[in-house]
Amino acid sequence: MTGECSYEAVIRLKGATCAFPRPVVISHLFTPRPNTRPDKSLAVAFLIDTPKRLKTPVIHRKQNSDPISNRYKNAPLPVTFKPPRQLRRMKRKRWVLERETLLALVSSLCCAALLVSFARYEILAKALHHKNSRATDAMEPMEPTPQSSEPYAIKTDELTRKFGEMTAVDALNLRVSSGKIFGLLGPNGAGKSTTIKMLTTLLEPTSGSASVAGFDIVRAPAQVRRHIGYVPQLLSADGGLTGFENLMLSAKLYGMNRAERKVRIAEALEFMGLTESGQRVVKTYSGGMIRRLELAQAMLHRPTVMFLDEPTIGLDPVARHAVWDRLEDLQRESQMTVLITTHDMDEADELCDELAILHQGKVAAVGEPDALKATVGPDATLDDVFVHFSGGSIQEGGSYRDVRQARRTASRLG
Amino acid sequence: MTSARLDARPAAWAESSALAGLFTQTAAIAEVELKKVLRDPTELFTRAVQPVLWLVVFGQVFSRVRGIPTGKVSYLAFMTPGILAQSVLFAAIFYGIAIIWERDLGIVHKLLVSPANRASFVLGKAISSGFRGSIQTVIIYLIALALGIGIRWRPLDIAGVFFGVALGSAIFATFSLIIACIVKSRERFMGIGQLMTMPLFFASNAIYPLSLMPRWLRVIALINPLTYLVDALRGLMIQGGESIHSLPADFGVMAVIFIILATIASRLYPTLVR
Repeated sequence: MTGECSYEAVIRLKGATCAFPRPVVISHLFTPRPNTRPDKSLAVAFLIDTPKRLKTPVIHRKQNSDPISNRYKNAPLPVTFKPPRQLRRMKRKRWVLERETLLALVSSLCCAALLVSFARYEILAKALHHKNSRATDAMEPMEPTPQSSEPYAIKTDELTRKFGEMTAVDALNLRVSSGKIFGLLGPNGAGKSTTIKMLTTLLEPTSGSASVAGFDIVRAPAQVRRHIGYVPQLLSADGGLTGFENLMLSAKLYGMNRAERKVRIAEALEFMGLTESGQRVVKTYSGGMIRRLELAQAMLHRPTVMFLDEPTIGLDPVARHAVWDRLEDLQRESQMTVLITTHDMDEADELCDELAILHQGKVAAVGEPDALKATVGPDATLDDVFVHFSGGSIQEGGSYRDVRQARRTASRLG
Repeated sequence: MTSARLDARPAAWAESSALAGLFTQTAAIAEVELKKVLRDPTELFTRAVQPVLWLVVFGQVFSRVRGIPTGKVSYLAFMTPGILAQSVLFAAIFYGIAIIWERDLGIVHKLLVSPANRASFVLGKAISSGFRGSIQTVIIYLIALALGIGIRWRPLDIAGVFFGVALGSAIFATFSLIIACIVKSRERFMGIGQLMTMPLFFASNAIYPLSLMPRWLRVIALINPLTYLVDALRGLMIQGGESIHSLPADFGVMAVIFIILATIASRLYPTLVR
């Protein structure tokens, strides 16, 4: 039983009188079902939406001749007659007009957003910032050209990062000359990854400073990001997208316009030998192909400095050589600086113009590969150099996480 | 490919500004997410099972209990918007796990090394979550049709439902992202996600009205964004359904909550890789 009823109706049901000023609305009533014994919960009435704020009413029990009411007359009254605060509102306002306008606004916004995001958002973006585009010609040359003014592509001064008590990178002083391939070697936990994270602005240093491509990593992280490329240790191309779509995402995130995107993506795919597989989902790629795709992603915006975190880990020898070839060609043609971390001494020997061996967050040795070999002994290999400078014993570092990540990479490559 | 070309920086850099960039990047992230969903839509359909159970099993039984004051509508019609909101909540609250997955794969690292605005990563995810919500809305509409529930067919009402669901879905996805940024591991996230969903669901007006709640629960329900989503949907979706608050109030509260959450999430997102 639902609906509006007068105050007398309430009284009749309860077998009691209430001093109500006005009729109330009863939203719902429990009514006794047939063949059940009456009990006190049967007469519960929910009162909602009263026209006026009610004070707790005075309730009178009333003797009357109605047999049903008499049966319940001794039952305690379960109703306090104090509706909840939210429900004590005034009658609903007429806000139909208001709602119509809101909805019209909202739906037009939706449509605009959909339209714009799927088709022509660049036009809007350009229209919004027409003013800025006039200054284009003036602005481009003003951007500092780091290679000419700065002999070092990467320069760190007392760069330090602590994680709680543990010092991962300890007052690191590195100088990486422009246009070189620089190798960062070291056992697990030596601070290579932390160093790369700081140089790529993913992590802030605890103390010290560093500049990449002539920009300070703490004061101008946005500029640093524009001038670097990064290939993470794990195969991080999005497996659910095609190679082309992965590149398109990078191109958009790096702020290229439509014409540039098209040209550069086609070029990059061709350069990395992926033109035929560009429309295939990355899940179906081999490990070497994913690595080359990632190189393509990282080179789209022509970085000054490229960071590669163990670029060939888990790849078979053929794929490894393919990645090295592409990387060397790329470096030669673009004259960019490349910083590589690796455990692989062949890779270091093959690729790097200069090496630094990190040990417990510090530079243990730095120099050209041949020079480093010469310091250790006449017939020394890079392995000997590595063992010599990194202590030679099993290190404390090499956390479980490193191992797990390496294993995951390996399993992804199948 | 010539070496001159390899030196050339993107021409658009000089003319791009923060707002235009944010817009393009957000759209790029959302587009990628949508492509992935559309390429493998099984997830969307499996998500439809739960609301069917709620409406067909739970709803059918509980509509026989006439103890819940639902105003002029039947209990089944009353709970339909609630179940829509619930399925959106349950889908969106686990959205953060995808971000932890992407973090473990290094995708987040790669995104964060790019010069794109940090807010665009959050907003792009929120928009794609809103899109998933719209598909759930279609499913619920179909179930409601099959169950013979009176639906409001006015285009403006339907547009309102879709917008409300998208906004609600964006809120919970962003909330989930914040949790993901704090816990950073899948195992812990699953635990917390499970812990969050039921209280959010039950401390709302999804399957019973606020008026039935004890005072303490009602206070909790009134800070729960799900309450506002359900309230708005109830007024827009079913015939005879009424919102307790006015629609501008419902949408206003949700918009404010979303802006606050998105701001927090944009701040926290870079900490994922530390």
